[in-house]
Amino acid sequence: MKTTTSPTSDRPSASPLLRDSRTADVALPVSSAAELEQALARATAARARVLDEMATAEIGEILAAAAEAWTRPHYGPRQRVLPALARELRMPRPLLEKGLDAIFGVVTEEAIADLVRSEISDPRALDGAVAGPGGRSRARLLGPRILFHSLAGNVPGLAIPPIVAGLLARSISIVRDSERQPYLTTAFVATLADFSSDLASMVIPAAWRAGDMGMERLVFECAQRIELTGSDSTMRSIVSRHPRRPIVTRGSRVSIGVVARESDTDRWQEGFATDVVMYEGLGCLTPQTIFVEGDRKRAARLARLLGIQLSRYEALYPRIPRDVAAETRRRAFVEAAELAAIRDPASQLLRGRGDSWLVQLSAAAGPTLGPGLRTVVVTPVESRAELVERIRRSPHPLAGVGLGLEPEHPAFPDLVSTLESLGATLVCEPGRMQRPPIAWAQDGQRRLADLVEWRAAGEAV
Amino acid sequence: MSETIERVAAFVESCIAGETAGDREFDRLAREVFAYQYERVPLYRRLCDLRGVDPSRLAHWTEIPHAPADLFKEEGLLVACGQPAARFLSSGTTAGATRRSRHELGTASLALYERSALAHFRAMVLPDAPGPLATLVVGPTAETHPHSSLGHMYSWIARDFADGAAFVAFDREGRLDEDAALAWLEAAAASTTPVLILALASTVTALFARLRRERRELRLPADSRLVETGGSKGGKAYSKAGLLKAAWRFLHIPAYLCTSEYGMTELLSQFYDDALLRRWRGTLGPRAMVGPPWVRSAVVDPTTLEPASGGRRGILRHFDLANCESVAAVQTLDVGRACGEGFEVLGRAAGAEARGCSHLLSMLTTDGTR
Repeated sequence: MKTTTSPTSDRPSASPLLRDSRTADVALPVSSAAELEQALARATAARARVLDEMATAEIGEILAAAAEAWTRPHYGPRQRVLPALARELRMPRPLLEKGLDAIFGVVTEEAIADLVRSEISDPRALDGAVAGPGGRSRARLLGPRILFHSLAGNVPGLAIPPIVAGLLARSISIVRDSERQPYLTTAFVATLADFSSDLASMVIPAAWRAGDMGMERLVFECAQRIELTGSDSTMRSIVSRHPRRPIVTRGSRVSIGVVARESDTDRWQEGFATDVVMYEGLGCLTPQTIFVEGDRKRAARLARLLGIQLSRYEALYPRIPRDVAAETRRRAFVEAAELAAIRDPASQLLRGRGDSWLVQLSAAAGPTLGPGLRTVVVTPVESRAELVERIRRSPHPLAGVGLGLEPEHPAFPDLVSTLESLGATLVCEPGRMQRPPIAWAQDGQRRLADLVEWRAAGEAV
Repeated sequence: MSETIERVAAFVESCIAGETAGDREFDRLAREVFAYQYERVPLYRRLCDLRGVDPSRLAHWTEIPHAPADLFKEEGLLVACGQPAARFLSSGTTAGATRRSRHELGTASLALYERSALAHFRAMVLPDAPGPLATLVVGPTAETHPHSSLGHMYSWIARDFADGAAFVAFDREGRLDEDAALAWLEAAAASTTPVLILALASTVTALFARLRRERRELRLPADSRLVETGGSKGGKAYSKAGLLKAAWRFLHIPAYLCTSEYGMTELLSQFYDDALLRRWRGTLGPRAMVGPPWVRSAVVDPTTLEPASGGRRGILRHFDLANCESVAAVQTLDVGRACGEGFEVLGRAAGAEARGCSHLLSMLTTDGTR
């Protein structure tokens, strides 16, 4: 059943998902066994209809329309959710708005079509039975009946790509946001309901207090696939409670910047500053270390220019201090950088007013996980071989690379290839690290293809 | 000895003698010590210069730059020239033995350390003057761990306050001799001499665990007391309440006679929780870590390094005049909050490098540590 209408910011609460809550358009996540059971019943009925009636292109169109609503600055639900999000995430509201634009701006019809085309050899198989692999009897590509995503709270909108992929795979998604900000997923689902109540029913926002083993057990029993995002310790703890379940985990990753020797240093500071500041540097795609090929002077120049940009951003989006633990880790970064500076003349610490931002110019840093919160290390690297070696020595797998080199430069393809061979799953220009495409293979896992498998026509799903 | 060091020693003596340490006098002396160290400790001077601090323009000692505790991982913090009279090393960190803190002491500060450690111990742990105590050490000593500042302190305490020789049930490899310790405790329980147990949180935990397994409870003589250290730094240890309950259940030591000590290699002064002192004074209040009068501690906001107001959590910093021959102003990454006459230690921020005595049992070198 297709309903494609433009949402209005003052649309009455017609969707069955909308109930009284703290923010007018945010439905309450399910938090009990009874609520989950009811939601799953609705979702199952909706899924049956979607399987029968809804083509992939239509799903993509609806998702894109819902996402597009969230990119509009004056969209009512966005306006209503923003204050709570800004408060819980301790991000300046204008910066959070940029973040929302980035999160939802990549969910377009074209991007979704690209995702399907790039990962699914025969996209028709998502819509219905086709000749199965090896020309055998007819089969269809389908995701598991129920997916469970548990998400970290460091960055808003982590649920959106899995929701998109889950719906394309025709799966029901139970989505548990971080306790810190349970708003965005439920608000987006409410928007989705404006376009398709069936698709919205297939996404079940859930919330329960940490330590509620009853809900965790229930969800783990009913979901066929489980994906966890969070700190390594949190995920270890959850995995240890379910030793016999295969669980997909997305743990600590480190991202970096690289300014190639073939490129001008002066082009990339604004982009890197954007990447450092977005989400207050707490996402896995925040560049922690920026390698500048060439001598120290080149690296020092980038560090200075980066500092200027960070000062500009501080004026636009003043940093909001976080909890004691996070600020203490940031203080540890400051101290370590100060000690490095007094020990080694080649090391330098550039700092904003009141330490609002910190750029450490370090002689021989590798990619390490810093505290984020507008801190970054810039380091010179003499040769490409040394760059490769220092990246290889990192204790953390590589995620994203902001590459300061013009794509049309002849050296570009080889350098991208080198970075990908070192584990980078995203290589893009500085300034775009925090808006990965919907098809980004986070942790090397394909967003859609890894969800679906061939199911024989007529097989119960 | 320089005049500055002499003035510090005199100030400490006057505090020990019970003379009130006025803020004005402390301020003046602290700024003098800072200027002295600024001139003589190149790394500290570089840090101050990096922060744009001019010693001649300080209006109050609270403006003195506090050095990160990690500065003590560097060489060359001793103001005096020549060989140090003593060298203390921390227990090691998860970063390995090469990144241990070190604290080199000249002759003056070694003497000051001994004097101040014993004075403050007496004031906080023995305010009731119980007389000589049968002493058990289940932690380092100067003999087993010659580079441990805690070990030296425990040895001095045993020397000055023990009834006869202290019994040490902890070897050079940091192994607790449970059998020997429990046998000693059992014998002590049969005597009338009060007992003093100098322990690490991890060793006393091990002893309690053993007593629980064996379903034994010992009844130590009245006025027996327990001093433990290193409890909140990541080792396996009881909660505070759990430790107090266990001390009563297994050793018959009441809660007010159980004292926690908070110290570090980087500081020559120590802090003790004030439960016993309060009991003796007849006042009530939550346990607070209290330092001697020649130390000023503060809880600061980790973002701004301004004082954390209203009992809010922050990170601890200390200005310790006993550090007169190294760096007196030390910033830690230990999280705490102001409490009563001192502060409460809440631990280290998750992700911060683990430190301290709780690692003594698990990360050992033959020359020992704190």
